[in-house]
Amino acid sequence: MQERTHIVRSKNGLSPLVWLSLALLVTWLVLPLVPLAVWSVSRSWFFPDIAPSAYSLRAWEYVLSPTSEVLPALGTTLIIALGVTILSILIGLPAGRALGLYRFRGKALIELLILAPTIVPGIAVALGLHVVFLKAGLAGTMSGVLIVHLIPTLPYMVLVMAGVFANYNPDAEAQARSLGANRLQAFRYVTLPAILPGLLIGSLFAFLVSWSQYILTLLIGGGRVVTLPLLLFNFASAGRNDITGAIGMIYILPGMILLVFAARYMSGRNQAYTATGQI
Amino acid sequence: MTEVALRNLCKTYPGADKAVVDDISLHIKSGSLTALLGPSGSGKSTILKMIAGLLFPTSGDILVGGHSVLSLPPEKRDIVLIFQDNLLFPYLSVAENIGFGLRMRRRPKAEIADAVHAIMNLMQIRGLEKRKPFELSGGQQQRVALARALVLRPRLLLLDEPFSNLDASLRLEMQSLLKELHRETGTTMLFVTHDQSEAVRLADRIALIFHGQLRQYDAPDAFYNRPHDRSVAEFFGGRNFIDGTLKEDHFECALGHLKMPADTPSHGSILTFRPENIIIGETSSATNRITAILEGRQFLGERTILHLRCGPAMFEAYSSPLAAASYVIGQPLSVCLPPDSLWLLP
Repeated sequence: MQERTHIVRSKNGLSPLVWLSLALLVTWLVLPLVPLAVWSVSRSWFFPDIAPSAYSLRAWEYVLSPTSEVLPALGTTLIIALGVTILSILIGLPAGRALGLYRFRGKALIELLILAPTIVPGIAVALGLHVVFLKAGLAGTMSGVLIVHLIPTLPYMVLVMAGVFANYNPDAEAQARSLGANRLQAFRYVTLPAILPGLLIGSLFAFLVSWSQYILTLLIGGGRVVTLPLLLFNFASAGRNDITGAIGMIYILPGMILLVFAARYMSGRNQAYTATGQI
Repeated sequence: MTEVALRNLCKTYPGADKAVVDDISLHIKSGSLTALLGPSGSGKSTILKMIAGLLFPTSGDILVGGHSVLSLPPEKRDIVLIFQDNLLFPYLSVAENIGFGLRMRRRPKAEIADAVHAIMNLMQIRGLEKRKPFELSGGQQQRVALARALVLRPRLLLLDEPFSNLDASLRLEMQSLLKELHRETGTTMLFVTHDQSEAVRLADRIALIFHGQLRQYDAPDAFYNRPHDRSVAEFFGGRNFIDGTLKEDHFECALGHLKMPADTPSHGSILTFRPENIIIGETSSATNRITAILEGRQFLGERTILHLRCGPAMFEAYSSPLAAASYVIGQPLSVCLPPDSLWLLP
């Protein structure tokens, strides 16, 4: 046994396979970001130079200064993405449960309707919705943007949860109730651990889809709700590559954090994941 | 006292046109071990779930200890239902599974640990505390499921097809364990099964249910010797049914003029008797002695079925394989039908 571990593990304790995957991960994810990072600290960088001819922190100074809208936009984007995630859970969990556990008339139609936003172009929907939102007084408000973000996020949440509940035995809750758990305890101690991996994946999707939303925010927010993608697009189209780079660095941060978190979670080290088995 | 009374209990699922449970009234004595027996789909599990509070009856009432429990949620009924497939919580250890109910009741940690330790001793599953359910054998899982329920000292324990997923030898072991636990704890227990031999082996009383209706509620031997009707007798393996007419204490049929037991029902036109109660060969008793022709035999290992004919009537009798081998097909045999073994069906 010891002999074998010796062969597989190199001197610093990581197997060659792990090294290879790490290298791939770095190439795939980090390398494309390098120009972005370099841009954010460059003063002048012209084709065909391989590196900038002068460096400066002015892009970062601008981005972090109170006069720029970047930090408030970061807050807005975060609040909207978190709000969208919470709403997606509140709607997607019961909907996914119904779709995963029960057969009922019109189930196929409902599944199609839920999937529709992923097929129909978002801009078409948003243009139609804009009129409705104007009448409802939701256009140009944060709540309006939050609601419209649900269109692309809900399909993911509902479908992930439907998949989770298709492999779930609701009798486990009944068993918990019979053993003395009230409704809340049965959810907390029986349902939640079983669906948690799926719930986290669905939330991850919801958060990231909302986080990267441009068109829907622009149309419904009408420029009054400013999120990071909007700023990013403004500076990119204005040719300010240094500021674009700096905002871009901030912009990818939550994605990176969530990815590391998800990777750790999916690696099976987490107790809840190993326990649920088939999910 | 945890006597249980079902009063005109009915359940119809929404959208269904037939009742799953159809007007069942039943009185279960405190401390008894009762079987709800019936073919699958007869509504037995639905009854258990209604008693446990997991389903609400369409009409009727459920009284436990003299009080209706219908207004109580499942966790307040002090009744535990053990589901068919154990349903141990996969992410909890054995000790945590067993302590689950006490934890939900917010008992102090030390008390939970003591109770779990004691019940694990009783169930002979010590040393498994830290294991996860998927690391256990089928028998161990079953013991954990029983321990998880019994540690709560419920006033009523409900078991839904408790041993149906076990292989034959393990099933026998778990059946005797349940019987032993029932004796030691004195808990009132009600279990559902579709296996009549399991019901007979375990239960003090059996409630036989067909299509959501109670057909007979009796001690196990009554289902063999005093069945209510032909379907009950057939469910318990009855094979001998002979038409005829009752004349005072005698029954006129193809087998002859048979003396009936004193408690014979006055209305009945079908004679039934168990193949194992027929006496083949010479005996001192001359009552109900007939002659039958041996038409065939079927070796079953521990016994042999003899197919006998008497006039137009065919019936079956059990014989020891050794004696059966000495009979010749077509041979007339002297057969005695003791009056106490005979019964009349409507």
